[in-house]
Amino acid sequence: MARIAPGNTPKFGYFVLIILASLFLYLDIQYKTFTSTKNFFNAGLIATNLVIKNIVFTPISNLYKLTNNKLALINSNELLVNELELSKSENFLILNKDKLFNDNSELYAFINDIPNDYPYEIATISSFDTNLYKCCDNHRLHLFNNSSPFKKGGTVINSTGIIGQISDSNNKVSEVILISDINHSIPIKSNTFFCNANGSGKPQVLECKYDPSLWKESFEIGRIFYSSGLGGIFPEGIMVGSIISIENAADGDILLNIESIANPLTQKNVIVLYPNDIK
Amino acid sequence: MTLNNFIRIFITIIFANYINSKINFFITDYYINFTLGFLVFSYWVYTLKEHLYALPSFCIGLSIDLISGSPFGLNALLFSISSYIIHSYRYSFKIFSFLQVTIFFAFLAMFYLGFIHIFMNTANFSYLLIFLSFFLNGIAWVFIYILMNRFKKIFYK
Repeated sequence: MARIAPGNTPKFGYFVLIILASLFLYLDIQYKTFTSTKNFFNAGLIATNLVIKNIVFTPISNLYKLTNNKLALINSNELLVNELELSKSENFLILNKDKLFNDNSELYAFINDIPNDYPYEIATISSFDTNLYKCCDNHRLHLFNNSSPFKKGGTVINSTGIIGQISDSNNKVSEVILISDINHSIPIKSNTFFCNANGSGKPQVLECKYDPSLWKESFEIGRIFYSSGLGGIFPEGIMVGSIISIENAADGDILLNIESIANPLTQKNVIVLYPNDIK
Repeated sequence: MTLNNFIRIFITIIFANYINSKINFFITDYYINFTLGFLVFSYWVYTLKEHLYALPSFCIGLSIDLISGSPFGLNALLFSISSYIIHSYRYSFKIFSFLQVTIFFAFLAMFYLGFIHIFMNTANFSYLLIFLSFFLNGIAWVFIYILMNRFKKIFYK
């Protein structure tokens, strides 16, 4: 590389702004100082998108559809697709009861535990940065709030299984931390073995690390894990996923890589369930 | 630099960043990543006669941090540093061939991607992804340079 030729680049400005940017970065990573700012911006962005879509694009789109005399058909088609997705979500527990739960008694216990007056809420995904989901450790999505914000701790499921839990809410949207997020942990079990499965940062992959001197149980690829219900957030006995690989960690522990059956990319409608002590 | 020109520059960077996020979703599985937004920003810093110095670089970076959901200040920091490096070498570029300039910007994009992944993908940091992306971004730079030159001739006043 050639030597730097003398120029009149203003070094002081760069110095000050690089220090300022580093300070911002430190504060955001260490203390989450700008989280509320980012959430506020996201909420504004989503609301603006929605308004623009409803005011500008939808009328234009409808006008075009009217000219083709297909509006009613298209609307009913969209309605049916949404209904189908909702129906899939609502029935996912029943449809998959044979494989989703350890046994039927756990399913019935789970259904009985849900209060009759307000068992769950249906929500629509407002934004999901799929690029961040694929590339990076933080796996989050946002839901449009219904009449009131979703409460922290609510379990979020779609027709494929548990995808995450509500981590934050404001007036417009609620943030969902996915179970594959690096900062998320879900208590799981398989027979008599219990562990906290941490998100690996890879899509649909969880990690369960244990000390083989404490747990004598042996594992094989394909072994199924269920939620243990410990912690009181996630309902007990729901299938989480199965082992895809077993590794020896550097500190002598054993690392189980578990592939979650739930895929957040499949649907735009989800269900938020609340444990009894939240709702 | 007029406000209109700054807005034009800003829009091209945001648009490239948007395209980038859409493409990366499909190619990340193959251990390659584009940094189109960063390359477009680098193009503007490299080619503008009225110079994109520290403050515009910082502001553009901060806006991308807000939009993309990355840690606040990360893009601001990297854009400011990149702008400084490019400006420091701006006289040296005149004696460089286009291939050398391409390699320079491919390296810059590789370091940018590396830093982004250090902060946002710490647990699954992949040297292979960074290494392969060096070649991809080198090729991307050639296309961006050609496309943005045409854009600049038509829209930038």
